[in-house]
Formats: sequence, structure tokens, C-alpha cells
Amino acid sequence: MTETATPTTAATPTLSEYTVRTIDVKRTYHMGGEEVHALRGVTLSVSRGEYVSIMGPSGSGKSTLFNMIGGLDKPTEGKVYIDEVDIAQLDAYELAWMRCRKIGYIFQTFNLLPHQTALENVMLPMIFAGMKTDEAQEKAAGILKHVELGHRLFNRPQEMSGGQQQRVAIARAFANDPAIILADEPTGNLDLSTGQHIIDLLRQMNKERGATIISATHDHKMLAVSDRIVWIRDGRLDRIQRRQDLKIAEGTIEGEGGERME
Amino acid sequence: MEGPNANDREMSNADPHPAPAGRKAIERQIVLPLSKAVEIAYKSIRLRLTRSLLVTSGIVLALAFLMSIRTTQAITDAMREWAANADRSPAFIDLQNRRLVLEAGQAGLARQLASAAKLGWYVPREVVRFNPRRELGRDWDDLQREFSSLPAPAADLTRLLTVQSKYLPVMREWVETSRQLKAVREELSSPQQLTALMQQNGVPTTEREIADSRLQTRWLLGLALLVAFVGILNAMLMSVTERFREIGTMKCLGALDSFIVKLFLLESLFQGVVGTVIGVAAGLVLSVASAASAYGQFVRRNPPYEQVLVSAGLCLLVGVGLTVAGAVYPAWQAARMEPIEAMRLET
Repeated sequence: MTETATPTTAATPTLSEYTVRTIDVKRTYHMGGEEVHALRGVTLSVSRGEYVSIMGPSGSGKSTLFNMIGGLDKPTEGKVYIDEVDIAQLDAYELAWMRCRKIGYIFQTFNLLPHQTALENVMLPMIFAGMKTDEAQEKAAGILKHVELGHRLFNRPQEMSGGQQQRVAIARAFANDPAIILADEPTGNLDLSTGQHIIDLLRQMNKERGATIISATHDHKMLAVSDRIVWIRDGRLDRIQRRQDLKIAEGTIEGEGGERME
Repeated sequence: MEGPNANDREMSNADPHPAPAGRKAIERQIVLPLSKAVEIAYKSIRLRLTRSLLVTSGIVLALAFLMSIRTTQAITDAMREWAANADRSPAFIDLQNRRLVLEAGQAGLARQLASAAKLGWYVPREVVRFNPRRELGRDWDDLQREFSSLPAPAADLTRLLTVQSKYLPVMREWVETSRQLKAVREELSSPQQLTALMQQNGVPTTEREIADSRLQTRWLLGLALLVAFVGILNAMLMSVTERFREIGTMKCLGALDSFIVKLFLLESLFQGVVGTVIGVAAGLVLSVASAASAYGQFVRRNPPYEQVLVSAGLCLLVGVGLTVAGAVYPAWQAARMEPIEAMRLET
């Protein structure tokens, strides 16, 4: 009983059409001899440049799906394609390459390296990608200026506010011009206005750089800017809403006001 | 500045390791130069300076112990050897003719010749094999006693000399002679003195005792090194646990497992090298100082430079090997961690 996210065209999509496709993805965990079905078959396609939010209560399989899309977890059954490459086929080196260049990660807890400056944090993925130090330095400084942190290049994370840290993290996620940005509750640890700022920045980067943004979130401000919202329940796709179909009131979404209580 | 097609351009880049057909979009991640790992490992040590210092001090203590035991042993062996060789080359002073008569020994002979020459004594060209009983009808013990009964030099006579100045030249010569005699006597009696000192300090002298004490120190050393090893292992495991999120983040950013392993091995290596060098230096200084205070000038008689150098090298190997070995398991554990942990872990 699988719902298809978008009506899949019969022809194989061209490389540029979808960045992420999951086909009947199932994921089963073994916990103390018991089988836990985190995902029971999810088929979903995300177009290039799309801004998608994944919603769902705890234990719905939301995080599992999110990790699948990010190449952080492999499906028990079914296929996950990133840029039309089946991630189950990749070895460690190819996975690392993909994480380095194809995907940019943004975490709820920022996850900046504490002993490195903002500039060094943004440079790190570039260094991993084999870029020369001075080249990386220049590019990292450019991106940091773009997220309005040109004046804090040499500050360490602990010397910055939460919003500034998350902006550094965004700059880091965009370091290697990835096709996909995966954001896990990017505003979860931020206050309202800072969160709004981060959302605006993500949306702006999404438009300017054409990166696909996929985020797991409870933040309704985030939903407001999403192109599509994917609801997960019980390891299955529950429903998919397009932005134009949404009725978004100030801070709440119709019928889903309880979401934030989790 | 980077257009929406940055991704497409990326894929068209020339690739030194082309991916197999059908995986056109994915390449293989490059292996980073060691210098980057060195830089990050160094920073992480600086960040956790207190704990790093604790680990390092553990290594310092263990290696100082190892080095001092080995150095002390080398010094004792060298002194024992010197005493044994010196004993076998007795000499006799012919008081009437100011002649030093030597019996050829092995190592002691050269030293005795040198010191006799320094004192201005006549040293016969051909070393006389001297048998006191045959030549003089006296025992070695007898002669030894004669040397011992020589009057004390200058200090006691100074008063006398100032009063009876006309005897001054005579007295002066006599004092000079007796001083020289005393020096020669000391040179001759020192092996016995040293042996006595060593016995007094509880240094084993018989083969059996030496073997027993070696076995004992080996046990102690083994324990000390084991404790240091467990300390390092514990500290590195803590370091890994503390940094689960950091490691996961780095893997998300494209770090290879080997890079993570390098990071932890290098961190441990730094601590190992610093700790070992300090430990070796401390152990060397301590053991030489304690030997010098126990045996005085005897330490300088036959300094075991070579053995001490070998010991220092061995200690370096042991110390660095120990620290790196202690980091292998934690590093492996860190490397195999899934990047997903970075997402899951709370604070």
C-alpha cells in the first residue's frame, strides 16, 4: 500500500529532473530480537531545486526517511537514488565523495567543530574535496560574507550566537555547491526571529544556487516557504501538500496545530 | 556566483579515478594529505589540554621509571666491571726510589699509568710483574696497611710550618710527597672502596642475586607499563566518546574512515612522543643524580654511554609504541561509527 508522491512518468527521468528518488523503501531495525518497521514502503521523488519539508510525529519514520535520502542509512528493501545513482551500490569512498560534494548537511545542533574558526569550519568540506588551502579560504570567506558573517571569519563557535552558528553551518553545507541540502530541524534550537532569519536565508540560497532543500521540521514558519510538504505516518507517506494548497495562518497550519507538542 | 548548474559542471570535471560505468555521477573520495590530519589532531590536543597533560604525565612517569631502572642498571654494571678489572691490577709504590711498580692488569693498568704519570712519578717502561712476597717478603695486606698509615697531608701541618719556618722547604717537600702518596693510595684502594659502597647500598653482587633482582625489576616494569597502557586506552576511549558528534559531522562532510583513524593515532602519537622524551630525560637525570650521590666520583670512572643511549632509544620505541597501540582500538571504534550518529546524538 504505497502512495506515489508525484505521478511518476513512464519514461526514465533525465538527470536534471529529480535529485532524489526513493522507490518502495522499507527499513527494518532489529531491537532486542524484535523487528521494528521504521519504513513500510515509501516512494517519493524530489525535483531539482525543490524545497521539501518532511513532517511527521516521533516514531513515524520521518528521521529514517530523512537519513535514507541523505545517504546516511541504507534501505532494507527498495531503492534510493541520488542523482540517479543507487546509493546501495556505493562503496565507502564513493559514499564519502557523495557526502562531500552532493549533499550539504545542516543540523539542529549546528555541529560546528568547536576548536575551529568559522572560516576553517566552512573550509573543511572543501579541504576534504581536495581544494587547495588558499583557494578554499577565498571561497569560504565569500560564502560567509554571503550569509552576512564577513565580520566573524576568525571567531570560534563558542564566541557566536546560535543564529550565527547556524549561518556558519549553512555556509559549510553550501561549501562544495551540493545538489541537495539536508536540514534536520534547522531552527529547532533557535528563537523565533532568528529561526525566521535562517529560513529566509535557506530559501534565498535555494533560489540563488538552485540546490534542492529537504528538511525535517516541526517549524511552521518553515512549512510556509516549502514547495511541498511530505507527511509521514506509521512508516508510510500519509499525504503530500503543495504550497499553493496550504492555508497558513500566523504560526499554525490548519488541522496540524498539535504538531509542536511533541 | 555559482549558478544552478554548478552541480553539472562538477560532474564534468576530469577525474583521475574514473568511476565504473553506470555510476557517472559519483566519484571516489580522495585521500587527504597527512598534514591536514596533523593540524586537526594538534588543535584537538590544545583544546583538551588538561586531559592531554594528564595522559602525557602518565607516560612520563612510566617511561621515567623504565629509563631510570635501565640507566641505574647500566651504571651499576659499569662500576662493577670497573671494580672487578681494577682489582686484578694491583700496584706497589717503592717509597725509597719513588717508583711505581705495576702489575699488568687489563683495564685498570692504563688508568693507573695515567694517574701515576700525572703525579710525576717514574713509571718504568717495561711494566714489572711484581710479586711483593718474592721481592720484599711482604703481603699485599701488609703494604696496604703501610699506605694507610701515611700521615695526613697539609691541613694538620700548617700550624707547625708557620712556627718553624726554617724547616719550611723540607716540610713542604714532605707534605707534597705525602699528598701524592695519598692520591696514589686512593687510586689503588678505590676498587675495594667501591665494592664496599655497593654492598652498603644493597646492590647485589653475586650472579644469583643479580639474576633475582633483574627478574623483580622486570615485573615492576611490566606493571608500570601496563598501567600506563590502560591509562592511555581509557583516555583515548573518552576522547572518542566525547567526540562522537564531531566525528559524525566530519564523516557527513566527506571524511574517510582512514582520516578519522589517522586523527586519533596522531593525537596519541603527539602525546606519546612528548611524554616519552620528557620521561626519558627525567629518568636519566634522576638515576645519574642518585648514582652520583651514592657513589660519588666512581660514577665517572667508567661511564656507560653506549648502554644509556641504547636504553634511551629503546624507551622511545616502547613509549611511542605503547601510546599508539593504546589508540588503535579507540581510533578504529571512532572510524567505523556511522555518520548518522551525528544526527541522532543529543548534546
